[in-house]
Amino acid sequence: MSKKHGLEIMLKRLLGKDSREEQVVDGIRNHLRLLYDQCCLLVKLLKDEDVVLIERIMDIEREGDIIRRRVFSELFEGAFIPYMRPHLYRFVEICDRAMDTVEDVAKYYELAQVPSNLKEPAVSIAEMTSSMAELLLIAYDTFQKGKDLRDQMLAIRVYEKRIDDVDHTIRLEMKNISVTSFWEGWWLGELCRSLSLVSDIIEDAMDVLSLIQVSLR
Amino acid sequence: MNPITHWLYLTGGVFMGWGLGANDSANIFGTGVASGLIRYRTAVLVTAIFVILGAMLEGRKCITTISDLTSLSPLFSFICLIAAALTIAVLTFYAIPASTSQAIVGSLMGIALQSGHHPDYRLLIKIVICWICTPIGGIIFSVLLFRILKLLFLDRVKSVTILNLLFTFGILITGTYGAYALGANNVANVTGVYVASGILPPFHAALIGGLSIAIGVLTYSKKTMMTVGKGIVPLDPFSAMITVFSEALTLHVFTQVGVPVSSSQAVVGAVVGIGFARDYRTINYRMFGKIAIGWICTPLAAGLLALSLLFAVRQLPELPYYCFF
Repeated sequence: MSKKHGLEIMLKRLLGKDSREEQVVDGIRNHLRLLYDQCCLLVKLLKDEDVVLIERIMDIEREGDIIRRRVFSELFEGAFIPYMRPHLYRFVEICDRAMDTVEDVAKYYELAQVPSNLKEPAVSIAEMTSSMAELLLIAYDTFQKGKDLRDQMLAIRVYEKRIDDVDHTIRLEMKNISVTSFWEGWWLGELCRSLSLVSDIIEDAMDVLSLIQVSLR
Repeated sequence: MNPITHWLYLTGGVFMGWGLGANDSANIFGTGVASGLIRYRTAVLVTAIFVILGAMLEGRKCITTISDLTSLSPLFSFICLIAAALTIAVLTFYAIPASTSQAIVGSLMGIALQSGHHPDYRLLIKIVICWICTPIGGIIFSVLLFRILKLLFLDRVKSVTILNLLFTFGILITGTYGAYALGANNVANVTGVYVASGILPPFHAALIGGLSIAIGVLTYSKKTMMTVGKGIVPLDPFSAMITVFSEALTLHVFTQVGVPVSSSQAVVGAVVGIGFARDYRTINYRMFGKIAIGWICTPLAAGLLALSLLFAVRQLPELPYYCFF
């Protein structure tokens, strides 16, 4: 056992229980795991065009809402010092917004089918988003251990930049797509917008996580 | 002495103690209460208990210094306290970090010069040096504690939940120590002059002084605690903890020297120290100017006010002599 780890265990025993904080920490981890699962399902949905997965994505979003409420309730009842609470609220809210946006993508997918020339870039964006969600989960575990988040942050920024590039390609391609009605065009536009928005939100979440770490040092 | 007069004179000290408790308790748990880390009720109870404990166990060290500074009659001790209390009220209104220690010594000097009692100048020089050293002590302790505790805890404890526990208990422990140090150091400002005039023996002076500070904490500290606390809250929890710890340590060191000093100036010094330890560009150098103004204005104003009050009292020949002595 390392000296640092030994000190942490000693302090934990000395200072007493921290179950409320542990519940918040576990709740946020579960929330992030759900976000990652949701992103993986989105990749499968766009790749395999299996619409049954839409319902599953929506279920995960509801599970995420339940966890978010539980974490908020623990924070409201006094988990963590007041200095940290606003940052933690914000982090959970941003992650929840990411899950809502993934759900939006799934809903729009049900309404507007992705044209064949857009399928590949859309799948590419979904895959990169899924990698970003995984990185966020890893970053959270790294944050919990108090280690440096720079690697994960850099990787997330690189992915986000790539997604922006692919998103630009999609927008250029969309000019040539003919639609039969206003709604068909609008749904497709919203699908593409929501798809690239998830990565922006994950990047925001990563920034908040790094902010919490910096503010405690 | 007439018992009614005796109690009348004591009201000055009790009032001074009440004001000191209501104001200076904010320097101890202000951050914790305003940020919601500690409940107000817990904070005031802990402060009241440890202020009394500090006053009883170590208050005598500073009481002796104040009583040795000059000899006084009971009436003069009463005037001293009233002049000091009024000075503090006016300077606090103008947001100058005034010190009760400086006010009481200033008024004592005013009275001593007027009544022809020569003060102990060597003791006075020692007191003035300690006043100047108070914010400097706050800065030094703050920088040292910041570096040491960062190395011991902040750099080694990585888990967010453990850090959270550390801050919660840290604020409580440092606050408790702060309350003890406040009682030990500042009780002399409240009842030290009564020992000089022979109204109270040192033990009773410590007890009454500690109790009156505790009453101030218990009855009227919420407003100042929230105001001061919210002003300090932008500090991160670790820095806030170090600030209170440094203030307590500064007060305790000067208690061992036997000189009552200002807790507010110790806190200001500690916050400046945090600025030095973290990033010197964040330091507001105008605060040094304000402290310097406080050093000059507080004893001067208290001394002049004490002289004026003494002059006013002497203009009342129709009052029976035994009312005052």
